[in-house]
Amino acid sequence: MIRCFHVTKRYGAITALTDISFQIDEGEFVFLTGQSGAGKTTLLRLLYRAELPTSGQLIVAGRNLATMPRRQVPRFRRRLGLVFQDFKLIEDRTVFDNVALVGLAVGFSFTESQRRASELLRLVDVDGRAQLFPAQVSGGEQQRVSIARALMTAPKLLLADEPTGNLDPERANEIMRIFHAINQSGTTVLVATHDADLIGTVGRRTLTLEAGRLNTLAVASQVS
Amino acid sequence: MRADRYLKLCFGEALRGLAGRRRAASSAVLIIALSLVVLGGFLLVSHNLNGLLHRWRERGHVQVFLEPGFTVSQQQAVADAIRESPEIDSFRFMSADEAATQFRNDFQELGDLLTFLEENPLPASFVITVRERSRNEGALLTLAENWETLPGVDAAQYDLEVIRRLELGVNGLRFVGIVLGGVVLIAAIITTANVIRVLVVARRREIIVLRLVGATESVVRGRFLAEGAIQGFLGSVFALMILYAICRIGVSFVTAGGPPLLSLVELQFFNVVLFAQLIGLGVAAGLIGALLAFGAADSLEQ
Repeated sequence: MIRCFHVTKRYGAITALTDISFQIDEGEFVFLTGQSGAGKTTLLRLLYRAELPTSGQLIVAGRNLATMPRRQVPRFRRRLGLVFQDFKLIEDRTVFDNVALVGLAVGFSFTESQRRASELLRLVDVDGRAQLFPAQVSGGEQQRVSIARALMTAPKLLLADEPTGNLDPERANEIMRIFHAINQSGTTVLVATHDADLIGTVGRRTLTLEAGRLNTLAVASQVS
Repeated sequence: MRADRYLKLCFGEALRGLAGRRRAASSAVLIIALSLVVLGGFLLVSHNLNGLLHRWRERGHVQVFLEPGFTVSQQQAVADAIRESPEIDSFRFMSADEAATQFRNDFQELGDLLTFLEENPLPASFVITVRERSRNEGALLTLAENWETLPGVDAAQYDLEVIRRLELGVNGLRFVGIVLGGVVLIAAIITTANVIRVLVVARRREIIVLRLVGATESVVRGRFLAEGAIQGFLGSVFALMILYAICRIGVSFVTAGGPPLLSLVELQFFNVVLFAQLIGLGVAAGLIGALLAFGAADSLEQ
C-alpha cells in the first residue's frame, strides 16, 4: 500500500526527513511515532501529496506521488481517508452535513450522500448527534465525526495525524477501537502519534522517527 | 461528476452562502445594479432615439419650401410637378400661417417668439410623403434636386440629411454611456471580487477540507463562481426594474401633457435582445469578480 524509497524533505536549510525508506502492506495497522518535531506530520503530508519530497520516491495506493500531475491529486485523495488532531470540521454545518458534504463534493448523488452519511455516523455511534453543530458535541464525538467523514469515499488507506491528541485516555481508546474495526474491514491504517501508552496498549507495528530519520531498530520491515 | 449534480451543488452552496451574508452580498448587487443603471440608461435613451429616427426615416418626408412672395401660378406649377411624380404617395400645402401654428404647438416655450417678430419668418411649403420604394437617400436626393429647380422654390429638404446628423449625436451619446457605464461596471467587478475574497477567507476551513477529501478545483471554486453569477444576475434584474420604473415615469410625463415633441419619441423599454444583453452583462460582471477573487483561494492548503 505504501512504499517509501529514500525520501528526503528539506525546507530551505532545514531537513525535516532524511533518507526514509519503509514499506506498509495492504491491510496493515501501523503506528508512526516520534517526539514532537521528529517529522511525523511532514511524512504524512507527503503521503497525501500535500507536499512533494525533495528527493526519493513514494508509491501510495499504486500511485507514484513524485510524478503524479497536480490535476490527479483530488482523485488520488479519494482513495485515502484523513483524520487530524484538530478534527477539521466545518463549524457552521451540522455533524450530518459535515459528512454528507464529502459525498456531494466527490460526485455522489444527494440521496447516496445522505444514505452513506447516515450509515457512517451510525457506525461511529454519533447518529444521535447528527443535527447538532460541532461546537455542541464533545471532542471524542467530533473525532468520530471526522472518522466518519474520512470513510465516506471507502478509502483503502486511512492516515491519522495525532487523532487522539486532544482527547482524554478513555476517548482515545474509543477512537483506537474504531480504527481497529476499520482495519479489520480491510483498510490499511497508519496512525501518527507520540502517545507511547496508546501504542503499548494497542500493540501494533511501529515506525519510529528521530530527528527526521527512521529508527531502524524499531522497524519491523523495510524495503531493501 | 455529472453536470446536473455539479450545478446543483455549486448553486445550492452559493445560495446558502448568500443567505448567510446578505449585507455583504447586497453591496456587490447594488454596485452592479448602479453600473447597469448608468449603462442601461444611456442605452435606453439611445435605443428610443434610434427608434424615433427609424420611424422618422420610415416617414419618407420631403419638404419643398417656397420663396417669399411666391405667386399662385408658381404654387400651382410646383403642385402639378409634385403630383406628376410617380414617387409620391401624398402631399399637402402648408401655408406660412399654418407653419407658425405648428411651430407654436411643437415648441410651446418658444411660440411667443413669433409674436415679437414683425413678420412671420416661416415659409409656406409642400409637405410630401414619398412612396416606400423610394425612401432611400439616392431617390430622395434626386427628387429634392429636381424640385429645387422649379420656379418659386427656395429649397427642398429631405429628412435623411437631418436624421444622419442626429444619428451621429445618438451614437455619440451611446459611446459616452458605454464609457461611463464601463467605468462603473469595473468598479462593480472589483467590489464583487472583494466580497467574494472575504467569503473565500471566511470559508477557508471548508476549502481546505474539500481539497483534502478529494474535491476537484472546479468543485472548490464552483460555488464562488456561482455566487458571483447570482450577484450579477440580481444586480442586473434590479437595474432593469429601476430602468423600467424610469421609463414608465417618462411615459406618464409625456402622456400627462409634456412637450408635444416628446410624444414623437414613443418611449419604449428594451427589446428582448437588449434585455438579455443587460442580464448577460450583469452575470459576466459577477463571474469576472469571482474569478479575480481566486487569488485568496489559491494560497490555501492544496
